[in-house]
Amino acid sequence: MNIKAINPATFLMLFCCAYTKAALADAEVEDYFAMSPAELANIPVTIATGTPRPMFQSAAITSVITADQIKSMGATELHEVLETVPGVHASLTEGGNDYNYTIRGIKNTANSQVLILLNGTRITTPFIGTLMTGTEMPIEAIQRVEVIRGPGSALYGADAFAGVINIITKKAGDINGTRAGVRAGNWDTQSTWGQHSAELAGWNVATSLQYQHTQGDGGRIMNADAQTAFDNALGTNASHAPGALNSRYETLNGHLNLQRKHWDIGFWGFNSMDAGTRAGVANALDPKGVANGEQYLSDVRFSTEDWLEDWELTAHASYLHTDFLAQFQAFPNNAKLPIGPNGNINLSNFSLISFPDGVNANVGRSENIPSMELTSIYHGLDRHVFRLNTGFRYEEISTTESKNIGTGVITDNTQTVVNGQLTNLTGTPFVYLADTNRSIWSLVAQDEWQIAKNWQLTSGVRYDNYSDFGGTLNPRLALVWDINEQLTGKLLYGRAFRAPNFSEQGTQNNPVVLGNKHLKPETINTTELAFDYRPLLSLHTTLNVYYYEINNLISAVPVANGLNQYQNNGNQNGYGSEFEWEWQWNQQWQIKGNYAWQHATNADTKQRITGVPEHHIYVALGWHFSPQWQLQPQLNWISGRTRSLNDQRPLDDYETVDLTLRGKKLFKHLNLAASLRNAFNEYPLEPATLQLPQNLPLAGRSFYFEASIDF
Amino acid sequence: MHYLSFDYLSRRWGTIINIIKWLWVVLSLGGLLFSGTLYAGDIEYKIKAGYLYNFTKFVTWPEDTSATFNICILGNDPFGDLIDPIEQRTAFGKPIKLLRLENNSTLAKISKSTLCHILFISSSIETPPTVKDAKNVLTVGESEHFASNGGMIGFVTEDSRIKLQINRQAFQLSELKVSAKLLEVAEIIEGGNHD
Repeated sequence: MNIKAINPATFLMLFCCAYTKAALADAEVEDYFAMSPAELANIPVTIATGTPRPMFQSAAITSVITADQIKSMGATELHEVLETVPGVHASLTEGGNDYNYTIRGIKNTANSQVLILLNGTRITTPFIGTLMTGTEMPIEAIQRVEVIRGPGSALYGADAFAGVINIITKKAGDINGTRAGVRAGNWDTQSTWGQHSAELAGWNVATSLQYQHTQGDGGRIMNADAQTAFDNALGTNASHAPGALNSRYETLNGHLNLQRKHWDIGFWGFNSMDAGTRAGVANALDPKGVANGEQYLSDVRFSTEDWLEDWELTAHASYLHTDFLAQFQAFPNNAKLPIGPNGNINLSNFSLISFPDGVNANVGRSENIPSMELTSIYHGLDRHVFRLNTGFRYEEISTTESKNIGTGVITDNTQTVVNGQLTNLTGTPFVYLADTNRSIWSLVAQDEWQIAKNWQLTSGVRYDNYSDFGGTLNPRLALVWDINEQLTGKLLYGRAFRAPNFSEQGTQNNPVVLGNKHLKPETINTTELAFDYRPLLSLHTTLNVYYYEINNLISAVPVANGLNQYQNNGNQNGYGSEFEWEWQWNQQWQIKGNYAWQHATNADTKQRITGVPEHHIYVALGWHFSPQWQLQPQLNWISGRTRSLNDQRPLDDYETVDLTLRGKKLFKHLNLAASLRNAFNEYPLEPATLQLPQNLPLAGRSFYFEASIDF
Repeated sequence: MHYLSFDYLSRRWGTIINIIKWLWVVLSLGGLLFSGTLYAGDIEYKIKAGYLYNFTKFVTWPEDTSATFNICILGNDPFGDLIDPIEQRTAFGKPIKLLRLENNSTLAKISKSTLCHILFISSSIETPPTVKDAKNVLTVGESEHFASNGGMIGFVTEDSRIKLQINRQAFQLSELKVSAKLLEVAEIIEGGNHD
C-alpha cells in the first residue's frame, strides 16, 4: 500500500476516531459495573447509548438521566436536570418560590402533586407535601435521576400523582477511589466537593460532602411587591421594591453509604445555612430574612439474597427528620397595615396600625417520619414474579412561632403603633398550625407475568390506610408488547392519589386561608399508550399519548369576606403527547431532544389550566470533537402558557440556550468544564401568586468554571 | 452561447449541489449504520462485563487461599481492552485479575496452580471444558444453549437485550450460592444434560 495515498486529513480522521472510540469505551464500562442485574437486563443493545431502567418500573413511562449526561448538559442544580425531561417543567412554588415540577399540565401551589424519593425513600414531608423549603440538593453526589411521568401510587403510595422523581446517589462502585472538585462562577457562586470510597471491614463505603454558596442573580428585579400595594393605598413608602429576589443560599450536603452482602445502609444530611426568602414570605421583599433548615435521613435495607431458593425477603427502615426555621420580615419597617379586631390583616373591618420596626416573625417546624417496609418477592412459579409488600409510616409535625402581628398578639386594634417586640405563640391556640401526627398502613400486591415471549402483563394494587382521612385503593395495569426487534408497545392504566397535607388540614389564625379537617384525597386516573421505536442501530425514539381525569382537587375556596378555606373543589382533565429522540449520528455527533404537548382543562369551566406550558421543546447537540473534549449546546423552549381572565401580568414564551464545554480524564485524572447558562440573557418569567403585581423572573445569564480530580 | 448562459450555469450548479447533498446523506447514513454497529458491539460486551462484575456481588464463593479474584476468559477474547478497568476493582477484599486463556489445554495447565473464580467461555470454544470437579468455579458462557447444556450462567439475547439463563441444578452441584436478586431477573433452567 502506497503510504502517500493516505492524505493527512484521512490519517487525522482515522487517528482521531480510533481514539474517540477507545476513550468512549473506557469511560463508559465503569458505568456498567455500577448497574444492577435488573438494569443490565433492560438495556437495549441496538441503540447507541442505552439508559438503564429498573425492572419493575419499565411498566411505566420513565426517563433516566445519568451523572454523565448531567455533566454534559452543565447542570449544577436539580431543576436544570428535570427541565430536560419531556413533559416536566420547573416553575416556582407560591410562598417559598422553590422549584415546582409541573408534569403534563398538573401543577399546584406547593408542588405536592409530585413524589420525590432519595434512593427510593420518600423525602417529601407532610407539612405541605413537598421538600423542606429551600432544599437545593447538589448535583455532584447524584449518580442518576429517574423520573416516572404518570401515576405511581400503586407502588409508591401517596403523592405519586403527576409523577415520581427518584434521586439515586453515588455508591462505592460509582466513586471508585477519591474525587475532589471546585467550581466558581458569577454572582459570587462557589462550590467545592469531595467524594471517597473504600472497603472497610467487609463493607463498601462511599462518602461525599459538598459545600455550595451563591449570592443569587441580582438582576431578578421585582418592580413592585405586596407592600407596594399598601404603600399606594395608604401613602406610605415602606416597600423594598424595586429590588431583587433574595435568591442567595449557602448549603452543606453529605451522603454516607455502606453496602455489603444483605445490607445497604444510607445516611443523608442537608443543611441550609443562609437562604434568602426570594420574593418574601408574605410576598414583600425582605433582604435580610433567612429561611434555614436542616434535614437528616437514615436508611437501612436488608435482603435475604441467597438464603432462600424461590423467595427474596427484604426489610427497609428509614427515619427522616427536618428542622426548619424562618426568621423574616413579612412587611418592611414603617409599614402601615389595616388590622381587624382579631389582630390579623383585614381589608373590610380595620383600623390602621403603624409598624416602625416592620412586621416580624420567627416561624419554625420540625417533622419526624419513621417508616418500615417488608417485601417478599416470589419467583418460584414459571413466568411470574410476585411481589407482596406491607408498610407503616408515621408522620409528625411540631411548630414554633413568635411574631408581632396577628391573633393572640395584637389584642387591641385601636392602638396606632406596634413595635418590633415578638410574642411567643408556640404551644398556644394562636400558632399557625397545631402539633399533629398521623399514621399510614399500606399493603402492595403485584404480579409480573410473562404471558408469552413478547408479551408481559404487570398488574398491581396498593391499599393505604390513613389515620386521618381513611383508606384508598390504587390499582395499575401495564401490558408491554415487543412487536418486533425495533418496536415495543405499552398500554398502561393507573390510579393515584394525593393525600391532603397538614397545612391544608390544619392551617389556623391565618388572615387569608384556613385548613379543613374533612378533606378527601385528590385522585387521578390515567391511561397511556406508548411506543419505543428503534428504526436504526443508532436512532432511538419514543412516542406516547395520555389521557387523565383528576377529581376532588384541593384548593382555597372563598368562604367569607377575604377569607378562604381549603376544600375538595374542582376536577381537571388533560390529554397530550410526548416525543423523544436520540440519534448518535456518528462517533462525534449526537443530537437528542424532546417535544411535549399538553391540553389540560378545568373540567367544570372548560378553561385551560393557567400557567402551564402547552408546548415544551428541548434539544441538545453533543459534539465530541476530540477524544477527551465535548461541547454541548442546548435549547429549551417554553410556550403557550395561559393566564386567568383577570390576570394582566405578562407571561410570554421564552427560550434559553446553554453552552457547556467539558474535558474528561485529561492527564488521566483531571476533568475541566466551563458553562454559559442562559447565554442570550433571556428574561424568563414564571407565574406568581396573584398577590404579587408581576410574575417571577428566573435567573439571567451566568457562567462558571469547574475543575475536578479523580484519583 | 446558450451553454454558457448564467441561467444554465446556475441550474447546473444547483444540480452539483444536489448531488453533493445526496452523497453527503448517503455517506453519513452509511457511516451512521457502520458506527452504530460498532456501538452495538461495544454495548453488548459492556453489558456482559457489567454482569461479570455483578456476579462477584450476587454469587458467594467458598473461602480459598488465592491472593486475587480471578476472572478467566477462555477462547477468543470478545471483550478486548474494554473490560480491563475491572482490574481496578476488588471482590471479596481481593483485587480482581483477568486471565486470558487461549484454549482448553491452557486452562488445564494453569488450573493446577490458579483458581478461575469466574470462567467465561467465549463462543469460539466449541467443546466447553469439564470443570465439574472444581466446585468453586462459576462457569459463564454465551453460546446458545450454554445453561441448558450444564453451564451455570448463560448470556442470551432476547428482544435485543442481554438476559441471563441460570441452571439451578448446576449451582446445586457446586459450592456456590446465587442471590435471589440475580434469579429474579434470570430465566431459570431446570436440569440440563449435565451427565
